[in-house]
Amino acid sequence: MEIRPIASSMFRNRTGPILICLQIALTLALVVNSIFIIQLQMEKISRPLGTDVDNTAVFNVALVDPLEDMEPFLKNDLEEIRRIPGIIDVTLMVQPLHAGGGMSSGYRAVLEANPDRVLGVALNESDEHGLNALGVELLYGRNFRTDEVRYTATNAQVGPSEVVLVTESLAKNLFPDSETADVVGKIIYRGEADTTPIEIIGIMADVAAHWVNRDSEFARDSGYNFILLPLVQTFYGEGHYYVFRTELGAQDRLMAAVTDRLYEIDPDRLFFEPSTQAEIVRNSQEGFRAIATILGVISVLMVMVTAFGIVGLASFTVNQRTRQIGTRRALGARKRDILRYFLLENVMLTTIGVVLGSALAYGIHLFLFSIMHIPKMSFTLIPAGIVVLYVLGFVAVIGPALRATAVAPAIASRAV
Amino acid sequence: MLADSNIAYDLQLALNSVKKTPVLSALMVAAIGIGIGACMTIITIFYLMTANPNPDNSEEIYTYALHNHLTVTEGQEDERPRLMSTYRDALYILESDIPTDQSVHYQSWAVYRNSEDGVNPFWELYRLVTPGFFSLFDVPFLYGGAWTQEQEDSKAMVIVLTRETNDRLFGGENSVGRTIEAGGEYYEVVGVMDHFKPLPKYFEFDNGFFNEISGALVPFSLTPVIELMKNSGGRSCLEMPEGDDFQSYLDAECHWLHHWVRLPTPEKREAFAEMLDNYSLEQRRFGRFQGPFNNRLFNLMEWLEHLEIVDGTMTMLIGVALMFLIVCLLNTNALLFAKFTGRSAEVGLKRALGCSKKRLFRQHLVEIGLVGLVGGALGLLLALVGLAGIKLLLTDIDDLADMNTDLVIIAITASIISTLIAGLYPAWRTCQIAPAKYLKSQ
Amino acid sequence: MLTMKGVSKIYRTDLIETHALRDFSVEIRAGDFVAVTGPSGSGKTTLLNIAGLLESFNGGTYELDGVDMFGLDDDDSSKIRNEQIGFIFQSFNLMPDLNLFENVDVPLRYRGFKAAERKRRIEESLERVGLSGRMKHLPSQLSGGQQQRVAIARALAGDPKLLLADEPTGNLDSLMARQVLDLLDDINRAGTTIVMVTHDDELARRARRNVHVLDGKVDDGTSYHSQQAERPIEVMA
Repeated sequence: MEIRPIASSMFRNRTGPILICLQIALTLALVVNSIFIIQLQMEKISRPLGTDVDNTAVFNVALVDPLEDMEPFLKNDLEEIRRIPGIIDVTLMVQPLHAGGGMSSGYRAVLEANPDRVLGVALNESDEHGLNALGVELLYGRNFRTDEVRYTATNAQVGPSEVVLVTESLAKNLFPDSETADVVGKIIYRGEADTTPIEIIGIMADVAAHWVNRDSEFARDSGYNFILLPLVQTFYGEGHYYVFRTELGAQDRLMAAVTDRLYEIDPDRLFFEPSTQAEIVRNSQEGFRAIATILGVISVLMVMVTAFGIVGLASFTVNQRTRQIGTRRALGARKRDILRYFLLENVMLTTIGVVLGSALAYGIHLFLFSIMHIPKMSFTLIPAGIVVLYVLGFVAVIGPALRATAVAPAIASRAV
Repeated sequence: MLADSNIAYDLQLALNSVKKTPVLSALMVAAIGIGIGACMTIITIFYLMTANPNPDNSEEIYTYALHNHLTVTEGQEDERPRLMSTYRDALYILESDIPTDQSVHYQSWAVYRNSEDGVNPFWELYRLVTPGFFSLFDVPFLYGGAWTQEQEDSKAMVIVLTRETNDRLFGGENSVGRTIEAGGEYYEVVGVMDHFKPLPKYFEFDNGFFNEISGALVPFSLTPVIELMKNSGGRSCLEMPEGDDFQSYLDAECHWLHHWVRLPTPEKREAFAEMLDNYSLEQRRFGRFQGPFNNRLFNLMEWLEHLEIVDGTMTMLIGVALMFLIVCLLNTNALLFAKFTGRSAEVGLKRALGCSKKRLFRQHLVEIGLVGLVGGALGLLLALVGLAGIKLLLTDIDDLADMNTDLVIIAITASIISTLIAGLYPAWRTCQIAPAKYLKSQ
Repeated sequence: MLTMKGVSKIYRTDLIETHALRDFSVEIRAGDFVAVTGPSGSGKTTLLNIAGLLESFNGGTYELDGVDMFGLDDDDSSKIRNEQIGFIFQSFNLMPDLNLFENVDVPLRYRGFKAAERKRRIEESLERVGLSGRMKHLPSQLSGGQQQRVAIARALAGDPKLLLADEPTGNLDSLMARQVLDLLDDINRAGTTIVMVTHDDELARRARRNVHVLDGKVDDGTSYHSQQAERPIEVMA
């Protein structure tokens, strides 16, 4: 192993090697951090949302001329839609779920005014068909009764309600010392100081709050704090959100059927952005996918550029040293000695590069940790990146190295 | 070569040299192109995200944020003030004569109808604004103009249409004087706006930053008259309204209004800030504005910073792009180094024939600059590809992802300069070669 | 120790066939100091290349130390070059990025000697050519003559049986040339067989035997061309 002579030789002609080392270091640092952030984005996208996203559609519909009393009209709409075969259930919600934004409020489990005990909770409103239309399982307790659902004509942010449904996670967060099943029947209060008692009548399977895929600690702790109020806003606002769940595979057909039926009932309607829940989710996750894609593209390009750099410099070196290679062969080097020389040279360069790169990668990670709210990186990423760079270096240098072995010993005796 | 050399000659030599090593030169240009392309893609978006959307007024217009809390707890001192105002507070401040102009506004939705011309009714955004809106935010008009303060005060039923709503309702004609129905009420058109899309949409931060201003605008004074609740964007209520009616809503402790004022002089700014603090003090008697004083005043650029439009993620992307550019420059540096080293014999010959170091150096710089120029041009093309890609990924930032002349100049200049920096060392080193050294055999 | 009988070397391209050596025969005994002369293009460098196993040959036999050198694979010829043959080139062919110690080290590493053994041989070799004081210097810091002496040290470090020199003084001035030749004399007297290619007649005279090559064959003065050659050297057998 001629490590000493290779090192001496590289050192005495260090411009090229330094450049390659720096490239390798930067590439490692950047690719490792990029992969980490890409992983974060993909993890965020894959956090479970809790509702039957793929089979739910969301229609934003409004009457051109609203009625004085919208309640019977809306109820009739819902009944008609429910009758369409293939529709599992339909409800009205005040805003679509999983759209990246939404309503929220604070709730506390203790009577006394205590801001520290107020939990941030994502909130939505629906009727007694809400759970079924969303495809959310009721775990304990009971659903809303029809008479508990209030139809309100004002767009108050949150109507007072006497009964609510909460998610399992919210139940645990509100009452950490109780068994989940025992939370049924417990009383909670809104905001910091409101004393109106609110009863939890049922606990549903976890539904994601609209902040569930943010980077913050709050998102991680309270990502499934969700509460459902038995309320339907009949107000003439930006229309109403009809949320309906369809049988498997029938969504497109049934979306058309629902549209037709609604027009039949009253043709003076305006349809806003008819959409599927899946599309809403995709739109809200656009940003994450974009970041992942951009970082992915840049990482690939960077690896390519560095690879080309190694190939280029290695080819150049082999050309420049043709005479030397021939001389070594004349002095007794076998072809594999020449191959080993170049491979070893590349391994040494890569090693220096990845040592530097690892330190740089960690430093960049710390910096990103300070400006973005990200968790700490797992320790397998840097070694994985190092392996990739060694493989990359090998693949890049093997061509020029093999060309070097083909240099004839007779070159040494050629006149300059 | 011994004659008076000029740039044209140097360029010719540069071109010849490129032709002699086509692969090497192509790799160099490609490396620079890719690096500049990636950087320019991201920097274009950053540049447009942070550009001043209203340079003529940005020094003078301010928005305030009141530190209104009903309860106080330990450790709440640095809690942020409310970014929007309550109806009560906004009206109070509207009365003040310290600002020379004010805009109070909020958004909702409404059905628009032009039954005369048989246009299908449609939903669109609907804004209630004070006339100051149009002057503070430098709104351009196609036809007509804003309503007057008298009309505002007398709650006139007048309306200003945005250009695209006017297109939909009237086919783009001059509709000033015509009547349309919006939100169930009839209004007379007094003005039609021209294209108005400040980026980012700073004066209305809760409704997207990079989207159109669409729909129409009516006097803010009509708020209690038409009783239209804010239905687009957000609000935060500290307390439930006491009753179900609209007036209760207006009286409630709910923050939902945007409020901007014009304060042209430092004296006025101080006076306004003082007025806000005095008001807060006074309101404490009613249990409002609890806690320490933290009323804030933001001018346009301060506001943008506060909104954190450019957040950690953007900074990260910019950092990544710049580091990528550095890798590409290192690559080019290595290639240039290889190229110049490979020409040692030629350099030695030239020096032996009397070419001075300076002239040789300049020839090298011209050659490197040429690579930078072509690389930059390639980079611009790639950036256009990159921006098109970004538009596919992020569907709402269409206008952010457009190159303009400033950026083109930045790209080419940056490319040439960075390539020159990268090539400085190899170019200089090669000129140091002793003339005779490479003429002899090794 | 070196016997060639009827060796031929043909270079073939798509269009042309060049006979570099035709039916070449020569016998060199151990301890000989042979100068191979001839005009350029006569094939003397090819002869040296074949003798040193740098090139293969097409016909005839070549025995080195009694072993047949025909059809050897690359690994075997490398081994023989490494252990039994030493090379000295006209253009020195030192590694510019290695110092003198490291330069002489190159063939020894391929030999597989341990570090201590290599060190001993390198120091002895450099001592022998009078350059042991400059072991850490780079070739660029030496004069031409000194560089050639290092090359000689490198060639000798492995105790080769045969030393092949291709125009060893071609790039040197007369003073340095003389020094190098003196060195070669000493080496030969110590027992190493030397075959030296040169086109300089004066140098050829310092060898103890001359072989003149013309048109790829040994010239014994009988061919037409040889009668036209400037100063044919008498062949001493």
